[in-house]
Amino acid sequence: MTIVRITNARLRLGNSESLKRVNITVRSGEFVFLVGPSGAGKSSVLKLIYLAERPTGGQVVVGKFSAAQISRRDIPYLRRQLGIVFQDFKLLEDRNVYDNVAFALQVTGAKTREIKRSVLRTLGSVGLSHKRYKMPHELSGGEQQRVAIARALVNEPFILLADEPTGNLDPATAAGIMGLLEKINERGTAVLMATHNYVLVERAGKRVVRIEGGTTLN
Amino acid sequence: MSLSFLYSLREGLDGMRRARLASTMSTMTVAIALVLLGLFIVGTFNLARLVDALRGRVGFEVFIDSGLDDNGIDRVGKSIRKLAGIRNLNFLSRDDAAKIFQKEFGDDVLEVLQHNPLPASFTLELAAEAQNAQAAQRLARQIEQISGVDEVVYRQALLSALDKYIGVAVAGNLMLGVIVALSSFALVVNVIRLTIEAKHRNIEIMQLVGATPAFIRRPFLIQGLLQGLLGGLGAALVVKALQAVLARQFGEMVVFPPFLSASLMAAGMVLAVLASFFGVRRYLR
Repeated sequence: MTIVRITNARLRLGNSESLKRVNITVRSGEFVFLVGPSGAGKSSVLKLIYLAERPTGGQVVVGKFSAAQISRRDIPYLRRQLGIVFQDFKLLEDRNVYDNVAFALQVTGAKTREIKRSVLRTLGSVGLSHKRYKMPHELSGGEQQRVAIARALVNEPFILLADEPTGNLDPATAAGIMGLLEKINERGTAVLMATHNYVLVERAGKRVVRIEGGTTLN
Repeated sequence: MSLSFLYSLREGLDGMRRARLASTMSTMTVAIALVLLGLFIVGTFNLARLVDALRGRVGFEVFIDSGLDDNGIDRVGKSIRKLAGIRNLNFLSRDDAAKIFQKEFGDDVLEVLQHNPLPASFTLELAAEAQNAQAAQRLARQIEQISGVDEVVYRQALLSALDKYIGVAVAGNLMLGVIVALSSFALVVNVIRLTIEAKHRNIEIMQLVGATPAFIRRPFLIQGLLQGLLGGLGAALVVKALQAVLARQFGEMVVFPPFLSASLMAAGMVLAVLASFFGVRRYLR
């Protein structure tokens, strides 16, 4: 089943055409790399999927949501079904690991007991339950990324979007994060990972979509 | 109470605790702005009282012909009462006038002149609508036409001067009021906006995680409400202290309007909540 379908999408940001022609499909449970040099448009493609930007042309369909039809007020509900991980982790610096992960459930109105159970289980799956009371600045880069992954997973999304998740990490830690993402994928969650780390891509042996100058290549 | 509201309340309180310095600064700014506003209100209130008191002192007196008997005086009184613009009418007999003369000058007029030359009179208190030079003059003319009235005396110059300067004072006060209100608003809005700006990254992350604008906004509004309440309370305490000091110095000369403290607290809450609302709105896309 196709869960993300981008067809001939274009994106103009200000005066520059960030994306010229993008075609990507991601099927349920698939692991797809989106590779290309810096500035090729990888992050812009992910932005189209989590609707931080709307395409200026073409179609973007994510799950049951279509970029052409979705209202602004429905965008948060789309994002709750996605997990998003960034290069700079994007953790809430003023709260601890537990609260960072819990936040993704609190926005859905989940009950406290349910939140506690899910957060502890998810933190356990990324190997950080013992650091749940630490503040983000007390963690290493790899640990912070694990927290971000836990937050992305706690709502059991149908796809995990990862925007250069290993970009700020040393090779060993990057390999660890990559291993974690593969494990998540093995459990059934689709992963779309934007990266320019070709070593990781080759080692993983997954489907690759290339993008250059805002255009995806077959 | 819904879980979501409890979450927002806890988040609002936690937010203040996490950013203690910024919250304290915001609360103090609200307090300072409201003290300014409170002082302006006290000033305006007392200016209005002063004007009322001055207008009430025009001393509108109607002197009666000496030859008029009691029935005639009664008839004059009834005729005056029928006229518009009079709040109260007091009769002063010739004997009363003699007593006042003795009290004011120390001499018994009967002993000095062997007879009482002082006429009976009516003292009028003008209604608010008649407390201006034009209306008072019109009333004086109407009274002078009543048979049995000898003369109408009032402080026309005082009323004319009040009419002339009150307009300027009211316009000046209004302008000052607008400046004080706008400055207070701008001060509070900017300080709260700065504290929210410091959290704009958090707001962005919250949106990426799927939080609705209302969910993100609520804790900020609760924070604003609490800061406004505390700031208003602080301002009310400062104003109360000032009231106590002024009361000791000047007695009842300076009066504070009723419900000032409650109004300041309410204004603080409204101001801070509005500032928070607009502060967060900038970052909600």
